[in-house]
Amino acid sequence: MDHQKPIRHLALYLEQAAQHFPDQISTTGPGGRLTYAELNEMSNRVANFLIEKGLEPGDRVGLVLSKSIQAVSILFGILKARCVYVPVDRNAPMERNLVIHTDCQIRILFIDPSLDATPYLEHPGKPEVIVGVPIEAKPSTISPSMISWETLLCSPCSMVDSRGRTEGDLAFILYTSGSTGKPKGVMLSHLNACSFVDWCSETFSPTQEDRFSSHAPFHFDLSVLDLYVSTKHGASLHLVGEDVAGNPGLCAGFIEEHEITVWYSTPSILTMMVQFGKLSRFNASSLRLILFAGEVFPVKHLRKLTEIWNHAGYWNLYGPTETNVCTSAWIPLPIDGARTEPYPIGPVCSHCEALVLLENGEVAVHGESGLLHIAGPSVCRGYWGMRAENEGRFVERDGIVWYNTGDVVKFQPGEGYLFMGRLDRMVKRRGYRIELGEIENALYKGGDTREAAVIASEDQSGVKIIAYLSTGQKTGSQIAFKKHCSDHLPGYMIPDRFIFLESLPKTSTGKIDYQKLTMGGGKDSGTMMEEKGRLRT
Amino acid sequence: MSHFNQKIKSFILSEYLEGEPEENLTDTLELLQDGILDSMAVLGLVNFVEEEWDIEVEPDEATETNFGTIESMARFVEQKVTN
Repeated sequence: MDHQKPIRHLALYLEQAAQHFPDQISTTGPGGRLTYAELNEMSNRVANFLIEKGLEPGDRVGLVLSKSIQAVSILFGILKARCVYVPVDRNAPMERNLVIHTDCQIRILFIDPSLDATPYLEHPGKPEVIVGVPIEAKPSTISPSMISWETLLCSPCSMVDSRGRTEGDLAFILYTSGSTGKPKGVMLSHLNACSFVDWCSETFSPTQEDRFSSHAPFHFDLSVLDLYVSTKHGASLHLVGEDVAGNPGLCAGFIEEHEITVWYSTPSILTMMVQFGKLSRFNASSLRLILFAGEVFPVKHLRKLTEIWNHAGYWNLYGPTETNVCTSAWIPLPIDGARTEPYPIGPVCSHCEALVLLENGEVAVHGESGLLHIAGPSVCRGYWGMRAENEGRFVERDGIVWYNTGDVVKFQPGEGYLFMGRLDRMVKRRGYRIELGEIENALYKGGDTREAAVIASEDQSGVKIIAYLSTGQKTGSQIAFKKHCSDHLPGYMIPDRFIFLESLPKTSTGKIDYQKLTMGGGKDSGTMMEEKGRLRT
Repeated sequence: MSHFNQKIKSFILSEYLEGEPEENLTDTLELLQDGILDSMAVLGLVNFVEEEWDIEVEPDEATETNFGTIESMARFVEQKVTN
């Protein structure tokens, strides 16, 4: 009977693993290593600390931390206290992180004390408690207004009361780029995450022998698979430190050193490994699964990778943060040498339903392109505090709530869905979602900007972001504008190139003519095409 | 200015900062911290210095300490070449 079924809850994965495999290594990474019993105990201390500070179920807790075993214990501690974690990019401008954490009104903040916490401390709506969590070797001092990690660890290690947990409890909020310039918070419940984790169990048959990499940062939804699939099965999780994550040679060495069996990342780092990782030097024979998601994997590089690491199974996973993975495609090997077209995103996963709608709302027939809508237990309940946005994105049809992914797809019998593109101004780069409007918004914060328009173009090496600016000057400095952007945006949003025009081209109604910019800008097309041809990184 | 600095600077200008007046790209400008170059560009630079000076850059040498500024890159390459 339904009410006797144990509820699905992420904290339960850890509690059960600690019971069944107490001495098994759960996590390694910056900070050392922890067995399941140790991780469970450390997270209990975090949970007891939060409860002692008066946090109630549903309260939000912010994290500005790099990856470490302590950070993993904090995530689980927050979940055990029935609170909601809100991780942000520790390398993004603090001003943007503060906007996010103010938006969802965090009550407690965990921060790397080597970062400047002043913006948080000076903000009127600052968190009630700030805990400094120093990570290895980095010199840092805990300011008097912070509680130290050592103090927190004096909290009791007893298990917190698990009564009252429900599947619908929010587990975490992951913020993605917002078109108006304000990031939007995707609210994900335990059920949302567990339904995806269960699908992974079904599809990838993980065991306690598996050794998962954790390459994606915790503010990125790829981390959900790493953290919770490994824990559910008593496998071990190996955190890829920040200094390793962007370095293809070190990543390849990491796979060898930790004998990784399941690697999950964006195609970007795998592409970098193929091109620059000197892979033949490393023994990666432990790998049994290479999963990738977040963007299209250029076939040329994927083929090369599958030729070098030809013993692993390759999967293309697709899904926005709002649904997590909702379609998947297994890649049969070897890849035909003549193939150039990207792989399909595959059929819908067993825990989801898919619907392709034409612009007029009619259901697309096979072979017709339309907008992919997803329903099922992994679909989030909406964005934090954005009613209008929710109404636009979540549509009810025949009593079912569907999330409109905004991705245009086409169904191909035998292959599943093919990704065709988007109708709006959201692009993917290094797996991150970027609303081009958010970049424009940041550019307008510069005193010299009169007009700004940002477009994306794609070539063999991937997506390039180009910003067109009019500043009143005939020309301008790439360096100055890149610096300006790095003060306001995370690194992956900084345009590759700035093009300065006296004024931006307009449509007959006086709006910026994006089509013209995409086709050839305010210059004649010949010059622009030449420029595009020269663009490379 | 050593010829290492000059060659690295020319490469950065032509590959990643087309049209930028040369005087803006100083030897001590923090290229990674200030968002001027991204991790892909660093890999391009590693490839460039390897080919240009016939040296081998180990994965753990492709760091911000060695590739954060033109000055640090030139110093790193010079050491490699002399050894």
